[in-house]
Amino acid sequence: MLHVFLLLLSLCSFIQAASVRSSKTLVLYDERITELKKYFKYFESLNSRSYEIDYLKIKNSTSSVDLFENEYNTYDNLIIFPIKGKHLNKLVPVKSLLKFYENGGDILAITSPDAVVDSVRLFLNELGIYPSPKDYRLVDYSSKSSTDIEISTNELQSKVVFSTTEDKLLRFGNAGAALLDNREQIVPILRAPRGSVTVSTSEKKKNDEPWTVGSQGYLASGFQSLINARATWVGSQDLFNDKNSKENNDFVQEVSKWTFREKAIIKSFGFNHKHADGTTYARTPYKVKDDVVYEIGLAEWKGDKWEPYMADDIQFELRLVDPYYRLTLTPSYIKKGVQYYTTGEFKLPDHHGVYTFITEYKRNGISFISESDVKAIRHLANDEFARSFEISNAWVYITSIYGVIISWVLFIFLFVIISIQKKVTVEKKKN
Amino acid sequence: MVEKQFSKDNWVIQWVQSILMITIFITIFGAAISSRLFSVIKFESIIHEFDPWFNFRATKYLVENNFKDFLNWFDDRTWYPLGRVTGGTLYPGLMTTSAAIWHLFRKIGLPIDIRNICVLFAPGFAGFTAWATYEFTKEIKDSRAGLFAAAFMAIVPGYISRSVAGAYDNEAIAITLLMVTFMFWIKAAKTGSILYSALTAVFYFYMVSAWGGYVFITNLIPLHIFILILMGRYNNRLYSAYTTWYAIGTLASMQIPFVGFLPIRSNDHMAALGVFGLIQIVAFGNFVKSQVSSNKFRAIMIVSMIIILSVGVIGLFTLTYFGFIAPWTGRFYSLWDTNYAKIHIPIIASVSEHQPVAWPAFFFDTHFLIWLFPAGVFLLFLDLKDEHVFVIAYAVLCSYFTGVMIRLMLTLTPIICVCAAVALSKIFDIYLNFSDDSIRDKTTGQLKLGTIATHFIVSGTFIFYLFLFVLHCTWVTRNAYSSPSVVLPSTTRSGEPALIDDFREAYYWLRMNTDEDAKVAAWWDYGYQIGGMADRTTLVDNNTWNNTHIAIVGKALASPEEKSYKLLKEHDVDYVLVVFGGLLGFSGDDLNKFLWMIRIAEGIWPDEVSEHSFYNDNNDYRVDSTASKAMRESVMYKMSFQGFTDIMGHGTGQDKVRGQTLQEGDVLPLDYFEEAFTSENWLVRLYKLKDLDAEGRDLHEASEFERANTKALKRKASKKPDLDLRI
Amino acid sequence: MAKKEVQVNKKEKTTEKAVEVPEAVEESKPVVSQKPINSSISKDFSEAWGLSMKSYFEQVSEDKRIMLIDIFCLFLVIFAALQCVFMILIRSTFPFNAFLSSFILCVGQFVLLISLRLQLTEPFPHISKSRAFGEFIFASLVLHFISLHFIN
Repeated sequence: MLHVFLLLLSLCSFIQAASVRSSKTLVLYDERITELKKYFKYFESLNSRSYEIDYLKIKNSTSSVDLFENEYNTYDNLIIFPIKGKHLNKLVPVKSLLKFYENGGDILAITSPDAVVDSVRLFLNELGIYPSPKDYRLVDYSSKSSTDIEISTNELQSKVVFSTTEDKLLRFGNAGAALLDNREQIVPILRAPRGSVTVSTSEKKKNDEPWTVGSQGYLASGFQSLINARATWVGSQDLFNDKNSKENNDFVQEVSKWTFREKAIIKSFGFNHKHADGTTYARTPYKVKDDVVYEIGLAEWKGDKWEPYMADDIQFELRLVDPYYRLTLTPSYIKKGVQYYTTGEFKLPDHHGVYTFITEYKRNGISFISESDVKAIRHLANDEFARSFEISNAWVYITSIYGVIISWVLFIFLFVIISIQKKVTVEKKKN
Repeated sequence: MVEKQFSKDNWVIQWVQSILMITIFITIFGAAISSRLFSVIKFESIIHEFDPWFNFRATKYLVENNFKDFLNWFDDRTWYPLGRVTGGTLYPGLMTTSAAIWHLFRKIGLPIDIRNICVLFAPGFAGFTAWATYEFTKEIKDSRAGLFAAAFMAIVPGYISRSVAGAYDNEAIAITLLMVTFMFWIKAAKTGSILYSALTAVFYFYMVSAWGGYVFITNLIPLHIFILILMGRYNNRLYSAYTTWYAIGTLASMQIPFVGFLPIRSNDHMAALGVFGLIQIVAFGNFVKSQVSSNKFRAIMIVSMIIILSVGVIGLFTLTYFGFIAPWTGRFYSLWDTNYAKIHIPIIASVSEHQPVAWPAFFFDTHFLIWLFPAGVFLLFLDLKDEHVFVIAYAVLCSYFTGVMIRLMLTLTPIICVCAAVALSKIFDIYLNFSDDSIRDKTTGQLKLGTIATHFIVSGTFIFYLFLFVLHCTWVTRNAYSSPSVVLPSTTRSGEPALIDDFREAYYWLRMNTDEDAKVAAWWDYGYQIGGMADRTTLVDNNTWNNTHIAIVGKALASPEEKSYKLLKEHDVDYVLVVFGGLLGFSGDDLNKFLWMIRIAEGIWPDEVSEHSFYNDNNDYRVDSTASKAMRESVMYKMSFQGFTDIMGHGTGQDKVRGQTLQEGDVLPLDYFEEAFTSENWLVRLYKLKDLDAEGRDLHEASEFERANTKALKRKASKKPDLDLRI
Repeated sequence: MAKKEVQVNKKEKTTEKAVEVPEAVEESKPVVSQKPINSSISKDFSEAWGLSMKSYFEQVSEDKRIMLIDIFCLFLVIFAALQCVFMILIRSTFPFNAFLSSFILCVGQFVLLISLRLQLTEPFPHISKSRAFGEFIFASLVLHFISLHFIN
């Protein structure tokens, strides 16, 4: 019944797609913990942005989860709700999750104090996100209900993922918190309140040290890999529940949009560099101290099309092991929805070598851009130096050389004359 | 009547003599060329060794582009990322000659592939060397000695070793030019002709364009003049010859970009300048002497000499001190003090050609000429004309230097041939003289049987020695000097000859299976070959002009994986190539050269790389279980032995070169590199650098993750992680 | 042969003159050995100088070409000196190749002239004077060519 309902829902989805790529999504859930119909509003919003969603219930009888076809992912996105037990570890071992992620799939992993499945947890550990284990829950002594967590939007960490001017409270309900590594690719989204602590609720481990203390804990965190695949972890499934949707809807939507690559996506539309007068490198290779112009085009995905991306901190580097130049790019023109930036004219260094023309734009939460080109910059040819008659010092030497040559010619001339004279006198003497 | 008969006989004899001479020369040329063709017949027409590959690549560039482009060639496929300004750092003589020959052949309608021209270049010029030696010896003694010298020069192994077909190196043309220059010099010094002297200078310029060893000529000719002056044999012919040569030669030699202003600036060339100044003074003094009596002149001479010498020496030292003149280069020092290089300049000391010579090498390279050589020098002493002083000076000086560096055996060989030819020719002059003067008693007119017998015995013995000489030379050439060293000959278990072609196999794999812009890091020995055969960008090569860059590669190979990966990634390296001879028993592999890599790296980074740490506790250089920690963690060790213990299937591997056995746990797995290719006999191993981990993990952790089973992972994850506080 | 004769002649001339001088020196010898050595040597120097000048003028009067050579040599020396002075004045050797080119041309030409001169006064065996002159022209041309190439 539920399935039919959801199928009908997916059929009436709009044609307009919102993600920068296709959105075949697989949802893994455990019906003992997650009642799917309580998350209807969330899935409806996804469907409205034309996600093709497949729902797979994980039971002991589930035989397999087909994430891969040969070496390619069969789904683009993966949503994993908290799953109890160890069955998922056999179906989707942690190495498969990693492979899925490294193939470019986006993952939204939700854990809760009731169920933290090992493969998901180990996968997140490899990213540097360490969610609290099973039976550890966040307890917030500074809020009115210590177990029904409500977080103020002041604790939002990433403006790129979600930012709001209102001071709302996000309802997390039963939540666990995570410790985060110091990696730059981690995009922390929501921090735990200062007065909170994550402690174990089980009898055995009641006196163990808390998992997180205060602001060191995080309730939601994202991660972007170098190939721009995104993974997000959220510590509570109550966040997505319909009963909290009034407070949480905006946050949940933006987090999903970020995770499934609908926002904060920028792309480079090509770069080129040439001599300042327009000649390309292919026609005339660069030599030292040439005037050169470099430009690169960047655009941002706005849900349905690419639009020019504006920023003032994009830097171009001319590198030979270490950077020789670092120039901030300035916007120059817009063409077909792409903003082109230019370095302006700059002079190549005085030293020859094989240089890399590289633009790297890596900001937390936004897609990584890295465009590089390796080109040789040659030395001056032997006839590109100043000729000697152009150097004033050399005129003295040139005149002396020509003076010597001319007087030499004179000398030969006179010598021969005297020789002839001598011969004549000798012959005269003989005669 | 008798006179007419006599003159007619003379005419016939002369005619016969010239025919004989021409035939002899043709056979000498033929012998010179054919005895160098062994490697082409046994293997194929291929460029040998290491340095010739670069010369070949440069020549190819020259024939594909014009001369101007070649002079200004910026090679961006070597010494990445610095590039190399080849126009100003090579001796263009060899390449231009080959290119000229190539163009010439095309013009006359015989388009020969440039590779074949390069391979057969050295044998072609060997014939000319023989001819130049003939002319040279003719000036020393006479044409009979000249023919001997030419014949010796054509087949002597000392010269063949660097001029077989395929040895396309500077020495191929340099020795020819050396003998031609010396031939013209002797003619100039004997006659005082300005023409010969100018020709000496022109060929000297050609020699400067071809080989760095031209410094030898730059110092030998002044030495000759200096000795003659000291012997009191100054005459105006010497003045004319030397000053013309010096003026034109110095100016001409500065035209080569690589030489630049060295003739004025470096100490190696100061001797020539000094003698130039000296000869002016001596000439003037000679003029004065001819006007004044000898008593007075002596006093004047002594005073002037003292003043001038002191001024000269003080001037030289002041200029060197203030840096106007560069002090003597390291290579020069290492010629005098054999230990200098090992301590101060490990790169020079590590080249195998720079090692001192073992005594048997002299015999091996010259056979019975080596004991005729001192006899010849002695005979020249007895007949001490000006040109003989030159030969003696050359012989003595060169013998000393050859004792220091085996590479200089090549420059000693011509003079050995010349002196031995003189000695042999003198012997044959007497003992082959069957004319009436010597075998008939003057008074009785009877045949002196005793004399005839001794003549027969001695000449017979020496003819037999000559025969042995030819046998020896041919045998040495065929067995010792005809291997291309790119392809190694060996025998299979059943005794059949087999070829070990691993190098070419690996280079061609590189060429076919990698990106055109892939960058390969390997030890500098293989740089030219990688550039020539695999056509890939290399980091360092045999030119060794930048010691720091070589030290970077050395450090990368000697450090643990993490450091090495970071260093190599900085330099955009894609592949690492190592040579491993443990399976085959090839003793010239990288593990044997490893100590030199460490030393060179230590020279730049003594805190990060230390030779001492690569020896184990007993101070041994071991690669088995007792190897030191630094050795086992080094990239070179891991790359050489990766998978070695699994070949035979029983978990141990026998390293045939070092004679040690490895166990399975000795070789740690590689985390940052992955094996890309290993050649058939495991001689060449290629490793690709892994990309940076997409999840930003340390590649070591990533690899451990790959290797771990889930139980271990779960155990690890059940504890709270130890993280730094987030700010 | 000719060379020997000329030398003998010269020796005869000098011995003729020297006949008078040694006596004077021998007489004053005991006195000289007590005086400082400098004065005797300076006397030798001045004598040698005088004799050289005398024979020099004889040579020149014999063959006008020698004087021509000497005048040219003087010019070359002046040229070379001027260039050195210029280089020292402006206190920079830039462009060094131009300086070297012209300087070595002067020196080289000078040296070639001296060689020619030596061959004119006492011809070398097997080289006639005209052949010496021809070789001189060849070598000079080579020198000029290289010099012009060097200064480009």
